[in-house]
Amino acid sequence: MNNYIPDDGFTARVVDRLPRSRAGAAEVLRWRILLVSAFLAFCLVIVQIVPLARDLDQLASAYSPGETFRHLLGLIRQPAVMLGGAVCVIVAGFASIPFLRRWV
Amino acid sequence: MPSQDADFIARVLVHGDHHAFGELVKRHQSLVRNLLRTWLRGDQARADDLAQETFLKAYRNLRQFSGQVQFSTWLYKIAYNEFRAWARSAREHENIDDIVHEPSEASGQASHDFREDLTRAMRHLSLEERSAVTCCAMHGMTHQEASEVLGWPLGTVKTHLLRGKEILRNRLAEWSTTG
Repeated sequence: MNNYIPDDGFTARVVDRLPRSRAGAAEVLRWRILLVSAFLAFCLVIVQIVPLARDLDQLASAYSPGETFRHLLGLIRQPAVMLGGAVCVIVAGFASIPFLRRWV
Repeated sequence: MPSQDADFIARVLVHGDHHAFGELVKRHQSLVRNLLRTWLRGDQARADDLAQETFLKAYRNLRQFSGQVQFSTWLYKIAYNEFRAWARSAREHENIDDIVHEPSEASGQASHDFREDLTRAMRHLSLEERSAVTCCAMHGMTHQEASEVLGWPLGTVKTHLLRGKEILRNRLAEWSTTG
């Protein structure tokens, strides 16, 4: 009477319905933090690059290559850019620690 | 093998490993589904629904599994509780003993097929007798294991089992003389 019943996808259906584990949820959260910080960093770069690109011709004609480089460095050293960049690097760094541990 | 069960359980508890739980499901799905199909008199769809709920409940409560009984026995107990909960709600709407399901497999086989005769005879048992007979006579559990699964005292298991076997003996004897 004790017939063997073949799996016929039963296991897959059960596994699909399993609640996501705490570790899985934390991994999703880390990915989200990474993506958001990468997006913020991208926005910061764009905000700085667009006006820079606009003035690039002017800069190139007015200054020597060395002076242009110093001018660019001055733009990057602006407090808002430094602060935003630092926050992004720290957040992304913390979020990526588990990935680095796994990959390295 | 119980030790393999323990490995998979440890992996689920420590890492939340869905794959390991999948292996546990694979190992025990046949017996759990078989048990529920017998209790539900061959209603395969409902038995599979209840079997899914059984495994999901087992996953959620895996930390409560103490290891004092076999993992399969613990699973059967959850399955029986699921079945009882369903039976209780079904009783509120209709008489559960009136719900008759034809055995979908083997129904086309010859009428003297012993398995089919047995399935038909099982319909004449009460819920308690059927549960006891399914556990002990069909799934080879000891009285003690059946007592754990069904949550009854040992004496109650033996009584229902004896009564169930007696009814089955009479029914099958009756059919063998008429058939």
